Amino acid sequence: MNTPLETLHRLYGGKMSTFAGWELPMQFSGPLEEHRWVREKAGIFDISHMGRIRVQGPSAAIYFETFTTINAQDLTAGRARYGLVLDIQGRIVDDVYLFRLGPEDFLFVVNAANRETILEEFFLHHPQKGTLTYQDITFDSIMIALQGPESGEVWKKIGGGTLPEERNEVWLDKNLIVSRTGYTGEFGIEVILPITEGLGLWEDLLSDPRVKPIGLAARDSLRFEAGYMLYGHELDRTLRPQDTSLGWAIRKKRLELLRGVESFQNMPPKYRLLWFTMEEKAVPRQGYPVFDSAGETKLGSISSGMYSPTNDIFAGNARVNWDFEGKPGDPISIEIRGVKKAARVIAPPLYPGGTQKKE
Amino acid sequence: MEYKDNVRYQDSHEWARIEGDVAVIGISDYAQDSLGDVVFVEFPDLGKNLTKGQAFGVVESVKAASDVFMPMTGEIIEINVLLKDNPEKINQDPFGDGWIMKVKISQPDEYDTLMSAADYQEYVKGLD
Repeated sequence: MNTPLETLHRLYGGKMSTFAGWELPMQFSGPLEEHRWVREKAGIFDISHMGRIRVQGPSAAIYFETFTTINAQDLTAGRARYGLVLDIQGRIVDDVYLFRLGPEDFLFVVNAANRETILEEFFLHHPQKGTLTYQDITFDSIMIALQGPESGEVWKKIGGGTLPEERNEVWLDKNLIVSRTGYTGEFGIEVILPITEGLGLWEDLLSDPRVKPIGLAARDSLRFEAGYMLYGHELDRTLRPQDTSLGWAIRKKRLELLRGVESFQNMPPKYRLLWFTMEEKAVPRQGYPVFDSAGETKLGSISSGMYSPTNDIFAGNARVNWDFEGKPGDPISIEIRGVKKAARVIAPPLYPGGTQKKE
Repeated sequence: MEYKDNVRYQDSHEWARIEGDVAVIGISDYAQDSLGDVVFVEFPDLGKNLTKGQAFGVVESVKAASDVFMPMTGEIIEINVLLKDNPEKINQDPFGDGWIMKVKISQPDEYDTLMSAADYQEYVKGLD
């Protein structure tokens, strides 16, 4: 599949690759340069591949509470919230953002790889068809993230003067949705708009010298430094919420409405997500085995690992057995191509940034 | 894309340049461009003897870890220590500051089995 911006990406030197069935730019000038640019100026990301499902009706809020961990009923109109979609066994189907656009009007933003599963499992055959309508707007709109310390000033100039002030604030203006959300650890916004307007906005943004297009490789290293999860790495359908570090994303109220709640509440945690940095230079990557410092007992395996451009270190996180109680500073080892290399447990995030408030 | 003609290439994209009985070894401009930003180079131990075609190390970019192979048989006598803190030199100057190591060659005739710049360029064209 192609996003409407695909032709422009090639024109601007994007090196294209397939991600979750979509042809997307992996990089433009190079992932390290792009990463640093977003940390210092402003970058734009084509995230039109993200699944976008508009859900409307008087039962919409309560319906979201039956299959997500989000407190949708108390979510104020004009606000967005992060959460998890769970299946009947309490396992993680996806991590998502829910935008409340109006009292009975929601936008559900899901991962590209899980869009069809979510439509199939939660919308196509949902039980309350009478009072709820849904529309998959993924192919009828463009979604652009504008991120970086200069992004506010850029948006004031190009996007019409104002922007949502608070993190997770959402504005709806006819066909335009602007939210103070993002996946980089920087100040920024995400914009959803019709295709024609979106193509124009992309080019208008690029005409500003403070702005560069950013590929998926830098998007990954930026989110990793900021401590954000990526489905397929830190999260997947073998895990329940208690096996992750996402307790804060589970609502406190009306949890009994959530299908599968017993299986996730009664099941003891199996894993924890442990963050580390390499003591010896080497690149940790997903799937590499993680051992204790003696290199004798296997603790788990790496979920995400890479070079951190901001800190100039190699770092990663790993899914380790729950009973391993590694504290920041404790030594562990990582097996890389048959050789165990020294690493040290750290407290995330690698990049605290300016927007790390968890809500 | 640069195809320097004072070196010869093998199909796995390493180049060799002869200086007396020593071969300087690196990866091609095409290879560094395909890998993208290099963040780490895993070197072989000094004094190790490796034969043509054997993996001698790993070049790791943001994207992936790629084995690199001996273009000529010989003993590893020097590695480019500059790359330890500046692996990006491989991207910036693959035929110059981005060289990876020096090998004392034991089979000088192997040089003739490597591709000339023109042949390598033809070969690369067939890959795209």
